[in-house]
Amino acid sequence: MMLASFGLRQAMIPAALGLLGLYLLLPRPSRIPRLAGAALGIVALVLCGRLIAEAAPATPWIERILFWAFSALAIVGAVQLVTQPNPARGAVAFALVVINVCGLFLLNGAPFLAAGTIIIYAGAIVVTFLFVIMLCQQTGAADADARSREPLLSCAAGAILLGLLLSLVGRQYDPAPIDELLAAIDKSIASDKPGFENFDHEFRKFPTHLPIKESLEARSDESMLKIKASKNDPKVVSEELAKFRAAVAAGRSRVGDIPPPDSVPVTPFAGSRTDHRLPAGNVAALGRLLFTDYIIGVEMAGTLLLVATIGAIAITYRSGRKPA
Amino acid sequence: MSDVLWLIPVLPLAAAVLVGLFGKLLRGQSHWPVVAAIAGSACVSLYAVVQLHHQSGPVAVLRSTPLPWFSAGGVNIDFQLVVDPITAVMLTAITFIGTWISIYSIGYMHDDPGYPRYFAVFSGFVFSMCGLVLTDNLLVLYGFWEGVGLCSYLLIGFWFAKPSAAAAARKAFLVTRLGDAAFVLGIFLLWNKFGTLEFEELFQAARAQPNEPILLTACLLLFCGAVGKSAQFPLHVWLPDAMEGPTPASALIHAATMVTAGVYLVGRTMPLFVAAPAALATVAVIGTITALLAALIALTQHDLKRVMAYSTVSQLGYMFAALGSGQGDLAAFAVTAAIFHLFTHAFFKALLFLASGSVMHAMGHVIDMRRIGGLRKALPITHWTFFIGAMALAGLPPFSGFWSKDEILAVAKEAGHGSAYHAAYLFVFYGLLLTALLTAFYTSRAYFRTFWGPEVIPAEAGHHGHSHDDHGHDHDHHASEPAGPGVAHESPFVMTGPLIVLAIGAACVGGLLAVTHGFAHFLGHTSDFVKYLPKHEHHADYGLMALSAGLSVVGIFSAWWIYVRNPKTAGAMARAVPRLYALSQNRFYLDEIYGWLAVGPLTAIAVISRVFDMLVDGIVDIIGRVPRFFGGLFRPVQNGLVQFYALATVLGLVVFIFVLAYLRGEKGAW
Amino acid sequence: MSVPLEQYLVVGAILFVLGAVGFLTRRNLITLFLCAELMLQGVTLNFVAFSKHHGQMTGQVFSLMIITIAACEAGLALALILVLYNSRRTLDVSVWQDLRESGLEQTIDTEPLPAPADEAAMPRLQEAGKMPTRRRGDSYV
Repeated sequence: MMLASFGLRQAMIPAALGLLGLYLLLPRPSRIPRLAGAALGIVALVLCGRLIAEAAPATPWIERILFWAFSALAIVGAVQLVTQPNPARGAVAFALVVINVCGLFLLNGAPFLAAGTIIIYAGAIVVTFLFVIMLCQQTGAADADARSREPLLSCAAGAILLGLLLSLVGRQYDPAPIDELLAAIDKSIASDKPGFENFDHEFRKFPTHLPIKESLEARSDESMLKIKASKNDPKVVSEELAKFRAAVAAGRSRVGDIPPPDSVPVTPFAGSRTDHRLPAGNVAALGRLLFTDYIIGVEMAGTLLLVATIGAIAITYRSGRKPA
Repeated sequence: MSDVLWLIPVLPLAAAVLVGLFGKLLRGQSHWPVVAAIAGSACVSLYAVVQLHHQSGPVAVLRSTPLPWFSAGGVNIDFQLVVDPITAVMLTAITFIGTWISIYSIGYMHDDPGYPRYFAVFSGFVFSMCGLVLTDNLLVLYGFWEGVGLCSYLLIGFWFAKPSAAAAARKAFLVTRLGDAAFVLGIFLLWNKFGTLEFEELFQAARAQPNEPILLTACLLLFCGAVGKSAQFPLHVWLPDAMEGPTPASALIHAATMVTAGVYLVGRTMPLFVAAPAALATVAVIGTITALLAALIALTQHDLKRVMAYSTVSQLGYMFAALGSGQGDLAAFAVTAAIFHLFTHAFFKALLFLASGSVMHAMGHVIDMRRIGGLRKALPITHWTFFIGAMALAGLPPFSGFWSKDEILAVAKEAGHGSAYHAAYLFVFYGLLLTALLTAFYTSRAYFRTFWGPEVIPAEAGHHGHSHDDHGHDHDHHASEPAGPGVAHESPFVMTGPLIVLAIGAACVGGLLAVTHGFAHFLGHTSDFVKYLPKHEHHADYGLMALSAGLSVVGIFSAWWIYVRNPKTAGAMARAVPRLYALSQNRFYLDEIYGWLAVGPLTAIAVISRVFDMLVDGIVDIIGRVPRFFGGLFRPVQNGLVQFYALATVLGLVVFIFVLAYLRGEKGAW
Repeated sequence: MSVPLEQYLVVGAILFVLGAVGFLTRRNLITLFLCAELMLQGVTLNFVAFSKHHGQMTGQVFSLMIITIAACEAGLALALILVLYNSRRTLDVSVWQDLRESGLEQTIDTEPLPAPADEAAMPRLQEAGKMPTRRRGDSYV
């Protein structure tokens, strides 16, 4: 279920292609065939999908299909928002993005958030935007909508940024060292003289961003002690090796995780720290968390909303003067 | 009693502050507080004189309670008002004459736009002058000394819009500053040597160690201050120019009181000078040179006020010559003579200036004697008062100038006897005699040319004659009036009244005080005299009196003969000795010489400094341009487009992430 | 097993970068704010994905806060946009470039636009109390 490993160079290719496509799609006075840009963008999306596709799919196919569909639609909507000269159509495209992102929310076990986002964003914010567009731009698309500010420079910056982000994800969640370790353990088990000596140095060379390194080291040291105590009893050796392989295989799904430091207070409302499962009953759990640990945040958010309301009225209120 | 003394300086100060702050409200009534305050001071001064007169014992003195001014380390400087007979005489002269001049100013300055300012500064001057003579401390005296200098500057430059007035004010300030710098050095030297600036303590210390070279230096430095303030050669050049100020101010400051501050200073510190005979001889010689030089210059001047100014310089030289002659046991006599002449001179010179002002007032500010003449019919009161003043100045008995001048001559005559500076005092005596003759001549010349001969009235006079209210001081404005013989009117009573009072004083005060020996007796009770200056029995020298009177008569008569009897003689005499005439006419070219010696080089240095400064400025500017240049390279970045800034933010974010992820190595806690 | 975290992160990153590029290039104030919201969507997606991955509700709480702030922002931004529009009669953000270095030339578009393409594609408000009439070429988006 992990991705194949990829580096900065691999990440840069789809990023550059995609942003080049975006560059071609951006509105400007001199027309460039939009089809070329769209084609480039699709190629980039496909490349990116290949990059992050699971090496050995372990996810149910329905979930995979939903993920790809939502993601693709969200990205297409986003491209449409960015490249659409007409702000009204842009707003509608944004609504599309929001709906698809909410689909992704659902896949991530956040139904309340999905509903809330659709209501607030697609329902309220986008509609308000449309109202403003109708108030301000009744004559149709303005000159400025057909132009872009520094498109080449912006797209280049965007490409570099995207490449960097992708490569960071690729590096952080790179399963290659663990896969090699597993292969070495399997080889050791299969060999006629099993033991830790054959692969011990492997995981001790792990980069520090693999958080399982320390726990594996502790596990290995414990096994070595046991084996030494039993004077290299082959039975004990194979038992310990099996235990160690299970630990490594379990750790493989947590690659790239950064365990929170001990100084972070543990709260029971947010969910268990160890089994990595969201609490059942999303709305109830979220409500419990909001009104216990984050009560101050909730209060402040409410105050902020009030202040923003008053501020918006104060900004637009004009006494005795008719709107021009 | 003693604390009433505070009223003397405080009343004019209060009036100055009042008029200075509320002048805009008072406007034409600004003179009331000032006249009242100075008159009040005069009354208190007279009261102090009476008190002193009634004190028994050899020393007569009044002291107020001291007010601490500042105290730094071991130095405690107090304000203490001390009135002894010398101070009392000075105070009387200042406040009494000041009162009448302030009354005169009401008429003279009438309708001037700066009316409140004039009276505020006038009152401030009286305050400073009173403070100057009332203190018993050299440092406090110096403070007031600068105060009178400031007021003098403000009054000379009163019509500051006039370039010549502004230049004259600046010149007066700068030239007196030369002397003041030396004065400060002298004070420092005395402080350094004796550790005190109280007169009493200084005198005791000086008596303990006479003939000290440091004392000589200090005395010469103090005298330098006096030279600057009292317009003695070679720093006399500012005083004639100072006539640019309003005439009453000239009368009070540049004739009667402030310029005598130097005489007062030397007279007050006489016990120091007595301990340094060489300094005294210097004082006498400088005084004589000044007296002679100024008298020679005054012979040929055409401007009535200028003649008076040079005669002031000359008479101040007389006083210094008297002070300088106080060698040995003559000291008390010398100071008495100098202060006596100061006192009488204050009366008749103030009178002469005010009368000149009255002439000016009637003539529409024309004061050139070539353009006026025969005014004795048109201005009878002015004529008679001017006559009394002129005769007093000429030294004709029984007017007051005769008596005081005679005493000075007597001191000078006796000074040479048995002194180490015999030759110097011989020069002093004969120089003073010659000056007496010249004084009588040029005074009478001015008098005859102004009031006798055929009546000549300039065109400007007519205009002013019609309306006394409109004697504006903008000369040029009226110059365009149609020419023609003007009509002269006598000045209003507010101006002639003070003239009459001062004329009575100028006529009588000298004789009264001299014949009764009242002045000498009164001054004899000064503590300085009693304690530090040797007594000297003086007998009237009738021969000298006769000689003095004779010189005066000769001078007056020859002036009459030349300017009234045979008016053509004057021109013939001038043509006979053209070089000498030009020398006197051009004030011995002293201003030009100073211009060459001091002003020219200073201007050159200033130009060089300016060029150098431009160079330095240029270098600094270039250094300043470097960051400007580099800033200019990045200026286009700040183009006002929000999205451009956002682009910079994104690029910054990219660099940040890149550095964090790829350049920090693997050690970070990813 | 479910869709791995990394894939969500990549989708979030793509949305974020698209929003950023849109914010940098587009000129219409409203589009700018929609792009900012797009960036927020990318970030929110990350939070929710992390929440699932770690089995912790905290990420969802953060997302909720982000939505709140976005609502505030949208309200204020729209008010500001209205004020700005009322003073210059345009939504072009490049009009507001007065705060530039003194002496710099104003940035002005020089390239001419081609003939207007679909001008009538804007929604219109009908006056109250009147039957909406559909003109030829009008579009309801």
